[in-house]
Amino acid sequence: MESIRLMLDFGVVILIWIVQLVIYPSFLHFSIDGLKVWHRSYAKNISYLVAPLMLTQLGIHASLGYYQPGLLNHLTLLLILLNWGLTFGWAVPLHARIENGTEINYVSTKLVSMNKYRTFLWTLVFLITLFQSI
Amino acid sequence: MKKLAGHSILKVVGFIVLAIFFLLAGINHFRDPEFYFPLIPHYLPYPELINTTAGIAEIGLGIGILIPGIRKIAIYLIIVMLIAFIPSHIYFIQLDGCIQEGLCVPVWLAWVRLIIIHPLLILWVWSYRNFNVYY
Repeated sequence: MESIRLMLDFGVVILIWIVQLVIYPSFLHFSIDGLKVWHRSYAKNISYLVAPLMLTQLGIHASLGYYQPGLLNHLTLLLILLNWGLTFGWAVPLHARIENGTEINYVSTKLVSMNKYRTFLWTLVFLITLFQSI
Repeated sequence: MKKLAGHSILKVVGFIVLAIFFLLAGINHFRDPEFYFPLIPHYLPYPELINTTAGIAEIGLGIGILIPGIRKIAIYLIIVMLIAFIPSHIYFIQLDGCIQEGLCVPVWLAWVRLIIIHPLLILWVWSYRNFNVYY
Protein backbone atom coordinates (compact mmCIF):
# COMPACT_ATOMS: atom_id res chain seq x y z
CA MET A 1 0.00 0.00 0.00
CA GLU A 2 2.95 2.34 0.69
CA SER A 3 4.15 2.09 -2.92
CA ILE A 4 0.66 2.91 -4.22
CA ARG A 5 0.60 5.90 -1.88
CA LEU A 6 3.95 7.10 -3.22
CA MET A 7 2.72 6.74 -6.82
CA LEU A 8 -0.48 8.64 -6.08
CA ASP A 9 1.29 11.42 -4.21
CA PHE A 10 3.78 11.73 -7.06
CA GLY A 11 0.93 11.87 -9.59
CA VAL A 12 -0.89 14.54 -7.61
CA VAL A 13 2.22 16.67 -7.16
CA ILE A 14 3.10 16.58 -10.87
CA LEU A 15 -0.48 17.44 -11.79
CA ILE A 16 -0.75 20.36 -9.38
CA TRP A 17 2.56 21.84 -10.53
CA ILE A 18 1.40 21.67 -14.17
CA VAL A 19 -1.82 23.39 -13.14
CA GLN A 20 0.11 26.03 -11.20
CA LEU A 21 2.82 26.75 -13.77
CA VAL A 22 1.04 26.16 -17.07
CA ILE A 23 -2.74 25.85 -16.93
CA TYR A 24 -3.97 28.58 -14.59
CA PRO A 25 -1.53 31.25 -15.90
CA SER A 26 -2.74 30.48 -19.43
CA PHE A 27 -6.26 31.61 -18.40
CA LEU A 28 -4.93 35.18 -18.24
CA HIS A 29 -4.26 35.15 -21.99
CA PHE A 30 -7.76 34.17 -23.14
CA SER A 31 -10.50 36.50 -24.25
CA ILE A 32 -13.55 36.41 -21.96
CA ASP A 33 -15.64 34.43 -24.43
CA GLY A 34 -12.72 32.17 -25.32
CA LEU A 35 -12.03 31.33 -21.68
CA LYS A 36 -15.68 30.54 -21.00
CA VAL A 37 -15.68 28.00 -23.83
CA TRP A 38 -12.24 26.55 -23.02
CA HIS A 39 -12.83 26.46 -19.26
CA ARG A 40 -15.85 24.19 -19.53
CA SER A 41 -13.92 21.74 -21.68
CA TYR A 42 -10.80 21.98 -19.50
CA ALA A 43 -12.68 21.53 -16.23
CA LYS A 44 -14.56 18.49 -17.52
CA ASN A 45 -11.52 16.80 -18.99
CA ILE A 46 -9.07 17.46 -16.17
CA SER A 47 -11.56 15.85 -13.76
CA TYR A 48 -10.77 12.47 -15.32
CA LEU A 49 -7.27 12.88 -13.86
CA VAL A 50 -8.00 14.97 -10.77
CA ALA A 51 -10.93 13.02 -9.31
CA PRO A 52 -9.37 9.53 -9.26
CA LEU A 53 -6.04 10.89 -8.01
CA MET A 54 -7.53 13.04 -5.25
CA LEU A 55 -10.07 10.51 -4.02
CA THR A 56 -7.78 7.47 -4.05
CA GLN A 57 -5.03 9.53 -2.42
CA LEU A 58 -7.43 10.47 0.36
CA GLY A 59 -8.61 6.87 0.69
CA ILE A 60 -5.08 5.46 0.92
CA HIS A 61 -3.95 8.08 3.43
CA ALA A 62 -7.12 7.63 5.49
CA SER A 63 -6.58 3.85 5.54
CA LEU A 64 -2.94 4.19 6.54
CA GLY A 65 -3.82 6.81 9.13
CA TYR A 66 -6.35 4.41 10.63
CA TYR A 67 -4.51 1.08 10.37
CA GLN A 68 -0.97 2.41 10.89
CA PRO A 69 -1.43 5.41 13.16
CA GLY A 70 1.59 7.65 13.59
CA LEU A 71 2.58 11.29 13.50
CA LEU A 72 3.57 11.44 9.82
CA ASN A 73 0.60 9.38 8.61
CA HIS A 74 -1.77 11.63 10.53
CA LEU A 75 0.04 14.75 9.36
CA THR A 76 -0.22 13.84 5.67
CA LEU A 77 -3.89 12.95 6.13
CA LEU A 78 -4.47 16.32 7.78
CA LEU A 79 -2.67 18.16 4.95
CA ILE A 80 -4.75 16.30 2.35
CA LEU A 81 -7.99 17.12 4.17
CA LEU A 82 -6.87 20.74 4.30
CA ASN A 83 -6.36 20.64 0.54
CA TRP A 84 -9.84 19.15 0.06
CA GLY A 85 -11.13 22.08 2.09
CA LEU A 86 -9.19 24.54 -0.10
CA THR A 87 -10.41 22.79 -3.25
CA PHE A 88 -14.09 22.82 -2.39
CA GLY A 89 -14.11 25.98 -0.30
CA TRP A 90 -11.96 28.11 -2.58
CA ALA A 91 -11.18 26.63 -6.00
CA VAL A 92 -14.68 25.34 -6.75
CA PRO A 93 -16.35 28.77 -6.24
CA LEU A 94 -13.67 30.44 -8.41
CA HIS A 95 -14.23 27.93 -11.21
CA ALA A 96 -17.97 28.51 -10.87
CA ARG A 97 -17.38 32.26 -11.36
CA ILE A 98 -15.48 31.58 -14.60
CA GLU A 99 -18.36 29.33 -15.68
CA ASN A 100 -20.74 32.23 -15.03
CA GLY A 101 -18.43 34.63 -16.87
CA THR A 102 -18.06 37.07 -13.99
CA GLU A 103 -14.82 39.06 -13.49
CA ILE A 104 -12.86 36.51 -15.46
CA ASN A 105 -9.46 38.25 -15.35
CA TYR A 106 -9.71 38.90 -11.62
CA VAL A 107 -10.85 35.32 -10.95
CA SER A 108 -8.03 33.84 -13.07
CA THR A 109 -5.46 35.83 -11.12
CA LYS A 110 -7.07 34.67 -7.87
CA LEU A 111 -6.89 31.06 -9.08
CA VAL A 112 -3.13 31.32 -9.63
CA SER A 113 -2.54 32.91 -6.23
CA MET A 114 -4.91 30.54 -4.40
CA ASN A 115 -3.46 27.47 -6.07
CA LYS A 116 0.01 28.10 -4.69
CA TYR A 117 -1.27 26.97 -1.29
CA ARG A 118 -2.58 23.72 -2.75
CA THR A 119 0.69 23.27 -4.61
CA PHE A 120 2.68 23.81 -1.43
CA LEU A 121 0.55 21.42 0.64
CA TRP A 122 0.56 18.63 -1.95
CA THR A 123 4.31 19.02 -2.43
CA LEU A 124 4.74 18.72 1.32
CA VAL A 125 2.61 15.56 1.33
CA PHE A 126 4.74 14.06 -1.42
CA LEU A 127 8.00 14.94 0.36
CA ILE A 128 6.79 13.38 3.62
CA THR A 129 5.73 10.22 1.78
CA LEU A 130 9.08 10.12 -0.03
CA PHE A 131 10.89 10.56 3.30
CA GLN A 132 8.86 7.67 4.77
CA SER A 133 9.67 5.37 1.88
CA ILE A 134 13.48 5.81 1.80
CA MET B 1 -27.90 30.48 3.70
CA LYS B 2 -24.33 30.90 2.41
CA LYS B 3 -23.78 29.36 -1.02
CA LEU B 4 -20.76 27.63 -2.46
CA ALA B 5 -20.53 27.69 -6.27
CA GLY B 6 -24.31 28.11 -6.39
CA HIS B 7 -25.02 25.21 -4.05
CA SER B 8 -25.71 25.17 -0.33
CA ILE B 9 -22.68 24.26 1.77
CA LEU B 10 -24.60 21.29 3.13
CA LYS B 11 -25.15 20.01 -0.41
CA VAL B 12 -21.44 20.36 -1.26
CA VAL B 13 -20.35 18.68 1.99
CA GLY B 14 -22.90 15.90 1.37
CA PHE B 15 -21.41 15.39 -2.08
CA ILE B 16 -17.86 15.02 -0.69
CA VAL B 17 -19.08 12.68 2.05
CA LEU B 18 -20.88 10.57 -0.55
CA ALA B 19 -17.74 10.13 -2.69
CA ILE B 20 -15.57 9.34 0.35
CA PHE B 21 -18.24 7.02 1.78
CA PHE B 22 -18.29 4.83 -1.35
CA LEU B 23 -14.50 4.89 -1.67
CA LEU B 24 -13.92 3.77 1.93
CA ALA B 25 -16.75 1.22 1.72
CA GLY B 26 -15.15 -0.14 -1.45
CA ILE B 27 -11.68 -0.33 0.09
CA ASN B 28 -13.16 -2.21 3.05
CA HIS B 29 -14.35 -5.01 0.73
CA PHE B 30 -10.66 -5.74 0.07
CA ARG B 31 -9.30 -5.04 3.55
CA ASP B 32 -11.86 -7.20 5.34
CA PRO B 33 -13.65 -9.52 2.89
CA GLU B 34 -14.51 -11.95 5.72
CA PHE B 35 -16.91 -9.31 7.04
CA TYR B 36 -18.95 -9.41 3.83
CA PHE B 37 -19.01 -13.12 2.97
CA PRO B 38 -21.64 -14.06 5.59
CA LEU B 39 -23.80 -11.13 4.45
CA ILE B 40 -24.01 -12.48 0.89
CA PRO B 41 -27.13 -14.66 0.61
CA HIS B 42 -26.16 -18.34 0.65
CA TYR B 43 -28.21 -19.02 -2.51
CA LEU B 44 -25.85 -16.80 -4.55
CA PRO B 45 -22.78 -18.47 -6.07
CA TYR B 46 -19.20 -17.13 -6.05
CA PRO B 47 -19.24 -14.95 -2.89
CA GLU B 48 -15.59 -13.92 -3.46
CA LEU B 49 -16.43 -12.67 -6.93
CA ILE B 50 -19.51 -10.82 -5.63
CA ASN B 51 -17.46 -9.18 -2.87
CA THR B 52 -14.69 -8.13 -5.27
CA THR B 53 -17.18 -6.81 -7.82
CA ALA B 54 -18.99 -4.81 -5.14
CA GLY B 55 -15.69 -3.34 -3.91
CA ILE B 56 -14.54 -2.36 -7.40
CA ALA B 57 -17.97 -0.91 -8.20
CA GLU B 58 -18.06 1.18 -5.02
CA ILE B 59 -14.55 2.57 -5.55
CA GLY B 60 -15.13 3.21 -9.26
CA LEU B 61 -18.50 4.87 -8.78
CA GLY B 62 -17.25 6.92 -5.82
CA ILE B 63 -14.64 8.33 -8.18
CA GLY B 64 -17.19 8.56 -11.00
CA ILE B 65 -19.48 10.97 -9.19
CA LEU B 66 -16.57 13.40 -8.87
CA ILE B 67 -16.12 13.51 -12.66
CA PRO B 68 -18.59 15.91 -14.29
CA GLY B 69 -18.54 14.10 -17.65
CA ILE B 70 -19.74 10.80 -16.18
CA ARG B 71 -21.41 11.98 -12.96
CA LYS B 72 -24.95 11.31 -14.07
CA ILE B 73 -24.27 7.79 -15.31
CA ALA B 74 -22.29 7.07 -12.12
CA ILE B 75 -25.29 8.15 -10.07
CA TYR B 76 -27.64 5.89 -12.02
CA LEU B 77 -25.21 3.00 -11.60
CA ILE B 78 -24.88 3.63 -7.86
CA ILE B 79 -28.65 3.42 -7.58
CA VAL B 80 -28.65 0.15 -9.54
CA MET B 81 -25.90 -1.11 -7.24
CA LEU B 82 -27.82 -0.10 -4.11
CA ILE B 83 -30.91 -1.88 -5.41
CA ALA B 84 -28.75 -4.94 -6.05
CA PHE B 85 -27.71 -4.86 -2.38
CA ILE B 86 -31.33 -5.21 -1.18
CA PRO B 87 -31.34 -9.05 -1.24
CA SER B 88 -28.36 -8.94 1.12
CA HIS B 89 -30.26 -6.68 3.52
CA ILE B 90 -33.29 -9.01 3.40
CA TYR B 91 -31.02 -11.99 4.00
CA PHE B 92 -29.58 -10.21 7.05
CA ILE B 93 -33.11 -9.82 8.43
CA GLN B 94 -33.73 -13.54 7.80
CA LEU B 95 -30.65 -14.15 9.97
CA ASP B 96 -32.32 -12.08 12.73
CA GLY B 97 -29.71 -9.36 12.24
CA CYS B 98 -26.93 -11.44 13.69
CA ILE B 99 -23.97 -13.28 12.23
CA GLN B 100 -21.87 -15.41 14.55
CA GLU B 101 -18.54 -13.69 15.21
CA GLY B 102 -19.64 -10.98 12.81
CA LEU B 103 -22.10 -8.12 12.49
CA CYS B 104 -24.83 -8.41 15.12
CA VAL B 105 -27.59 -5.82 15.62
CA PRO B 106 -31.18 -5.95 16.94
CA VAL B 107 -33.41 -7.22 14.14
CA TRP B 108 -35.53 -4.03 14.22
CA LEU B 109 -32.38 -2.11 13.27
CA ALA B 110 -31.91 -4.38 10.26
CA TRP B 111 -35.51 -3.53 9.29
CA VAL B 112 -34.82 0.19 9.73
CA ARG B 113 -31.82 -0.12 7.43
CA LEU B 114 -33.89 -1.86 4.76
CA ILE B 115 -37.02 0.28 4.96
CA ILE B 116 -35.66 3.72 5.92
CA ILE B 117 -31.88 4.08 5.68
CA HIS B 118 -31.42 2.34 2.34
CA PRO B 119 -34.14 4.32 0.50
CA LEU B 120 -32.75 7.52 2.07
CA LEU B 121 -29.30 6.61 0.77
CA ILE B 122 -30.77 6.10 -2.71
CA LEU B 123 -32.56 9.47 -2.47
CA TRP B 124 -29.38 11.15 -1.27
CA VAL B 125 -27.50 9.83 -4.30
CA TRP B 126 -30.35 10.72 -6.67
CA SER B 127 -30.39 14.31 -5.39
CA TYR B 128 -26.97 14.87 -7.04
CA ARG B 129 -28.02 13.89 -10.57
CA ASN B 130 -27.86 17.54 -11.73
CA PHE B 131 -25.10 18.65 -9.39
CA ASN B 132 -22.35 20.65 -11.08
CA VAL B 133 -18.98 21.57 -9.62
CA TYR B 134 -15.55 21.96 -11.19
CA TYR B 135 -12.20 21.81 -9.42
